[in-house]
Amino acid sequence: MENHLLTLIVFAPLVMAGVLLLVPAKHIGFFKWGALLGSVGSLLAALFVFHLYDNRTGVTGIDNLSTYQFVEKMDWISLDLGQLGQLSIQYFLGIDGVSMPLILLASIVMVIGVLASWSVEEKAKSYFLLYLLLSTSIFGCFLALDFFLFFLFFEFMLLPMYFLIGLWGGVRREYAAIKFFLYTFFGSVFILIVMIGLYSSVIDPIKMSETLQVSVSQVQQMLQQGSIASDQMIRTFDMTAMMQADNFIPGSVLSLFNGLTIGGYSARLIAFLFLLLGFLIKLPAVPFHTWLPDAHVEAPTAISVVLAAILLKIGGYGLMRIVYPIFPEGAIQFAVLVGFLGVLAIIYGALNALAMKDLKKMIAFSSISHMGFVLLGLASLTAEGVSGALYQMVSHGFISAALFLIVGVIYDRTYSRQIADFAGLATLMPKFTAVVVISFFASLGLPGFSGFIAELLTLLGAFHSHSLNDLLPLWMPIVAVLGLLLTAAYYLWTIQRMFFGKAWLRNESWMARLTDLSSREWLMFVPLILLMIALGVFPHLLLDISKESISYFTELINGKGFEQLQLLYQMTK
Amino acid sequence: MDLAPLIAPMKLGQETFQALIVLVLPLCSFLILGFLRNRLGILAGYLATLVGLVGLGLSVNLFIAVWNYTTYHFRTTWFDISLGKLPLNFTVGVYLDNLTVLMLVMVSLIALLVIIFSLAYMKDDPQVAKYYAFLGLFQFSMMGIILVDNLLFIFIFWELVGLSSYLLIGFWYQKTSAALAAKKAFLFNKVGDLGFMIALMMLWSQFYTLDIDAIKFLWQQASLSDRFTLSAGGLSVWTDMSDTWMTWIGIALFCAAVGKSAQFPLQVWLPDAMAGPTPVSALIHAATMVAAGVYLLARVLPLFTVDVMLVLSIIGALTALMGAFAALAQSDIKKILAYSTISQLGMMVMGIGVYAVEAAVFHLFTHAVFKAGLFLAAGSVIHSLHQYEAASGQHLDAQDTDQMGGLRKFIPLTFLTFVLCGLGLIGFPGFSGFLSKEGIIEGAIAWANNADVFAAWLIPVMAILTSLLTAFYIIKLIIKVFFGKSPQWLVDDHPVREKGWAIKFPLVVLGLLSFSIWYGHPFDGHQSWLGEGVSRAIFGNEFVPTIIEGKWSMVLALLALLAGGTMAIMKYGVDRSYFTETVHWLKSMSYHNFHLDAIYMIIFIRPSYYLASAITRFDQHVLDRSVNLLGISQVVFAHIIAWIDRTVVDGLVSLVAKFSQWFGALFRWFVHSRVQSKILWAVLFVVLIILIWIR
Repeated sequence: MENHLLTLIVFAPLVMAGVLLLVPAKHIGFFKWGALLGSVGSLLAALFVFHLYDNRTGVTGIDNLSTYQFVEKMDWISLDLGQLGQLSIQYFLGIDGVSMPLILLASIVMVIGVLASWSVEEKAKSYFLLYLLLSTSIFGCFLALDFFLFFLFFEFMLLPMYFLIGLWGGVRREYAAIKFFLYTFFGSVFILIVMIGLYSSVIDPIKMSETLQVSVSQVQQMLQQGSIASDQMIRTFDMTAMMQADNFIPGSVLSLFNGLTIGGYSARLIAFLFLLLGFLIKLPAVPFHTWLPDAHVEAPTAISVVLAAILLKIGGYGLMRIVYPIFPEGAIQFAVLVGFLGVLAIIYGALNALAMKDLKKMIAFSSISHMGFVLLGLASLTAEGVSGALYQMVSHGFISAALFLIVGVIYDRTYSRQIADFAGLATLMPKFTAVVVISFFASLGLPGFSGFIAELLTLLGAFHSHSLNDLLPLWMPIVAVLGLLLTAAYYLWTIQRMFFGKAWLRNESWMARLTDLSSREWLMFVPLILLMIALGVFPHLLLDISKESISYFTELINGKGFEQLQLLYQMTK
Repeated sequence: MDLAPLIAPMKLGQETFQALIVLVLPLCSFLILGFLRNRLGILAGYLATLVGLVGLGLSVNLFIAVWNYTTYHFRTTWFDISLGKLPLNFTVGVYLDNLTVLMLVMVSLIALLVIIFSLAYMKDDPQVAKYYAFLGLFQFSMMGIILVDNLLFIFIFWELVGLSSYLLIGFWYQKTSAALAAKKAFLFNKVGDLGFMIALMMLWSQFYTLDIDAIKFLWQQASLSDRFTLSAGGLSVWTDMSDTWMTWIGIALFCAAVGKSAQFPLQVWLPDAMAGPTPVSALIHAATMVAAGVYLLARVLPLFTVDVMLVLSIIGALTALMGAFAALAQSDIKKILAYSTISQLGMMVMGIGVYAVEAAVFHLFTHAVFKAGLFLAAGSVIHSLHQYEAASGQHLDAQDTDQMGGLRKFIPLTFLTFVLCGLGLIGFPGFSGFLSKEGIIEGAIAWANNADVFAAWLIPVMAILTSLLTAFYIIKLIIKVFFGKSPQWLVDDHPVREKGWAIKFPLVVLGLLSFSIWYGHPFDGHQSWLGEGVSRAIFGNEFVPTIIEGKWSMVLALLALLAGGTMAIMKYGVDRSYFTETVHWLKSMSYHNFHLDAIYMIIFIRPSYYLASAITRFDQHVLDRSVNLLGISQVVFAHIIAWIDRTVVDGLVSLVAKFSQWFGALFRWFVHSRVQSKILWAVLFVVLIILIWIR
């Protein structure tokens, strides 16, 4: 299939940004409509990809290059390193059952984000240009299959986010923006280290088979026998190549067979932990989460929406796309750690949310709590658990978008986010209250909404893990269940305090400003609510896309993981 | 054991299709009323009534088709994430047997009557369409619990029922008490639901399905041998079905019932739930939703081990007695009935625990009828007092029985219903409760008789004591409200009156249904068609009346209710001096329901809030601060480096520069000095060199 749909998804916003760059800053309308057009362009392309997407048996992706769809692969940077062989960086995009749902999520939320930005008047040109830049880097992140390309997009995301928070944010915006930037950047350093390690260890078997005029498997064989000279090696950032142990140069840092240990752990396990740390900060997992509440509280509504709905998912996506398949033995070795961090986040986030007095902070902590399910499901390495983790990412994307929009509705009208400033809003804004109740119940995992399916699958998987692959102890899912109660508690308490009871406002003058939802706001909420319900009632809408990939993923990680872990132990003994 | 055929899809038949319509109709009503709530006005109630009528008609039709005849099962795949050979297939379907159709008719009937009653009761409420919409949502979810064939879907509807209960309790959300009660009800239910969730996790990890039929079948296989292989698509999985494991599953499932059916220790939400509109209390918090727990227990009965059954009977008996005791000191008419509901639900759970399952389900049905009757009658009292309040301009608490008296003259039909249903509740011969409750007590006695331990007799003793207290509090209530002198606030020119067919019709129906004649032999529960049919559904086709313990258990039960009734009449009928004069610790215990609320506040709710605040402080002062400190120390470090750079590194460079500057200056000085001094220096140097050279 020779087309450039994925490139279209990634670069439609950037092209639009390029066009808008030429428009004088005073035409604010141009930028709004232009940004809308750019993100709708991506959305349409994504929907078209979804339409053409092939979810037949065996079309799995993950580590199997030939079963990725819409693959675009071309040389980007090639450097002759002389004695060290060749460096090859590719423009390499592709989609499989893990990225397809997230691309749909991202493309939908980016459009809603533009709608949520409609009231931005101040420095509108820069705002929308940065927003489009952000879109491109997000889509690129989800589609890149070359580690270098991924890292590029991953890092590039920080720039627009930094300015979007730092320039259009709340009172402490500079602090929050710097904290966000530096914290994530700190994580990236670890990713970078491993990326360099991988690059120095992995060759591109396909390219080498072309230059050496032998088959791919022969290349791998020759490599393992050490019969390929160093200057003939083509080193690559291709993720799918990194996922196969045969492509590692014997004796290289991250080879399975080098017996290299650092502080008692094999280098590969250390590499796993480094990558894990990098992506856990992005997710964020407790205790690396403290940048999130600040960033959320200070960010403008639309940026909060994008941050919660999409950016956090890149953490989870990175684990599924990069960390687990490249270092499956780490997934097995540290399953308990990852599962524990998941449970910790669920409970810790929920307890924090319970104590929050600021509505936006409460929702930020609820995000942390919900992201815990992603970790728990992933750690279980069962089909249910991993499906649940992916489902949670998509579901939380839509639900958290609605939740942050809700905060935006109140904040836009009153410039207050304190729960204690409001009571009995149901009387003043009945339609808004209906939206709030629906979104809150969706978020607390009420059946009929997407969150329920996600949590159900995660919990079933986490519990099943004990009898299936014996990775997680039984107490983890049981404690995680407790999180559901805490979640219900903070949401219902908030509803009771802010929306029920007699109408009362801290400031009388707000009364006139607290009008019910405008049609633009409806336009943002309705699709989100419909999606929550659709995914809650018809789970196969999403699971049919991801099923093949996830089944393959779990089998792959379980199979290779145990095998390679044993190997590592033998080598390091 | 091959799994695939056990969860294979089954065709949608005419009956199951009809059942789906019964299920979906109220949902449509919910959606239509929800979206058009502002435009429908008076039509909303009629639409809901129409939907209720059609639902009842279809339910009766299904009842006729299924009852004692056959079962129907429709099943399809909801979604499937099978992993290679491992079957991970989530099915959904509709299952119809005697038990389901009985519940279906019961729920449809009471829902219809309650909707009709609401036509009058909720007439003046500005948000009446929303009310009927929520009722529709409730009916939908309740029907779902009854109809589906699968524990996962029971759980799904279970939660949705919780939602509709939340919305209806909080219907008058402006009232703080309603808002608090709604939250409390949902959260306490959620505690039980955690158990349900855990049960689902345990069952799934062993059986790979949550289909009740399949689980029951596999369970049976498991009980033959502890470990057996489950194979599907060539893959075999060991399942561990030890007794401990099974007991934990049973207990976890029971937790769900403890929450929803308001059993000890989670029963505290139900009395507060009375903050909702009274017809809602009748439908949801007396007749149907709270009975769902008992229904669930009956559906999954074969999964319970002996230990679980013991837990059931203990918790049930305890709840029954506690509820009855707590009802004694209440003065709010709805609270009395709420505690009574708790107590009766305890009886049902205990009935299941002592293997008198058909009696328990029978009691579920009769209780639904007479308790709905009692609540609607109470609603009629409240409604007529509210009308009076509005007409006379006086302020009074329409639910406080201390302020009532002699109302039988004003609202005779309500009085009659209350008495009939009350007699049903206490199990007076000739009334429905007699058949079902005596069945449970008999079962308890037989169970204790078969048990080895003498302590087992505590269970029937508690049941009989409950019976006694029940008779006491309900007769006390009747006397207080309907007999004696009219209260002082009553002024004759604005009579208290029950108005409208919409109020009267449901009362008449429920009052009449409280007679035992409808359920078979009016004085012998063993000869009831209802109990027999239920027994068929649960135990298979051969119907063996579980217990024939002679008549003495019945005599005992009758004595208890006579004693209770007589005591009430003696105490309140003669001089009408209420409890009020004695402030007694027992009374306070009863009034505050054993202070459970306060205890939970101290043990759970406050500590978890403190924990939350402590964790937040930790988050801000330790975690976040350490991140900030790291940042700050980085900056400080940078400053130190900068200082070193400035003073040491750059200082060295400057030193070198300074040195050369100094040296240069020296030479400059040489170069720029006068001729005479140059000669002098030259001579001096020459002398110096000569001196050195000579040495």
